[in-house]
Amino acid sequence: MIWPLELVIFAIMIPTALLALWLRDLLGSVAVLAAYSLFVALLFAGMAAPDVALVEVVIGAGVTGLLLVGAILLTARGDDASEGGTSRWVPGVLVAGFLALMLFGSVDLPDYADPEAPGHQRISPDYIEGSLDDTETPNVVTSVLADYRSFDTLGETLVIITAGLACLVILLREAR
Amino acid sequence: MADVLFDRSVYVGVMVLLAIGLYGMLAKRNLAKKLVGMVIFQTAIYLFFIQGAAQMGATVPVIEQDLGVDADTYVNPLPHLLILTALVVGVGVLGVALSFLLRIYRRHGTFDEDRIAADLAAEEIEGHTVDDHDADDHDDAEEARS
Repeated sequence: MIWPLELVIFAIMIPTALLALWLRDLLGSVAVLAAYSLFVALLFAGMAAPDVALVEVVIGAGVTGLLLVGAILLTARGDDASEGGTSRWVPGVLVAGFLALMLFGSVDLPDYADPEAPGHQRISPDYIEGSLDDTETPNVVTSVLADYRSFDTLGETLVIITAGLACLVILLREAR
Repeated sequence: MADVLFDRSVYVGVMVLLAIGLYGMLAKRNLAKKLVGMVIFQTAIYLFFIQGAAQMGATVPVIEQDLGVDADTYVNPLPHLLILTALVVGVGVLGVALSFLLRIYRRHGTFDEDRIAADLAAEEIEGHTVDDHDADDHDDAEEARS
């Protein structure tokens, strides 16, 4: 009976996320966000996705935190933005409506961890059963990433290059 | 009954995290805080996909000789791959957003949305008064005219 683990982590994560938004000190906010990412990684590991958990630790907690800390050290640390005012409740109402809509939409989704869910029926069994014969790679995620769906990965690299170039263009043009 | 509650509670958790992230993006006036909200929103979407991959009685998708290659023994690997890609792309998005943030800060000296809007409105009223911050843009405008 390991099920409630997910609930415990969710119970920690939701206050952590709220704290990250609520803190006035931006560096503290980023630190809490990194802790939040580690909890997410824990949840990924609990859901039998170790590859994603590792990448989330490195990229979600590590690189994201590093980028945000770097940007904050270069600029301002405090959040002195005015809160409240007339438009404070408008986002609240919008988000409440969004949440209600999403919960309503999730009613028809298959139960958590249901082996009969439609998503598990079509192509995924082929990947698992063919992985050793086709690619001689026991790790199915690797064989799907680098073999069955390598064009996805190629597209991802293009996106990363584009993002890197965009960063350079944005920052260099200013330094001129 | 407890099982039914648990089956749906993962969805509730994910949707609540989505709502928190969206609230951060909409309601926070500080642009850096909006990015924090965006990261929370992204993470909730990753979680939604990964929980969709989970199967009762299935293990990590690494083929083990003892377990054989029966698809029911392993969780669905496809969402894992999609989220690996999305994680990396998410950092790309954050990088571009942060470089925009740096430029905004150097020009306006604040992350506060209201003050930036007031600043921009003031510039518009004064016509293109050139201070040393936007001399750069002014030059471009002249180049374009000539």
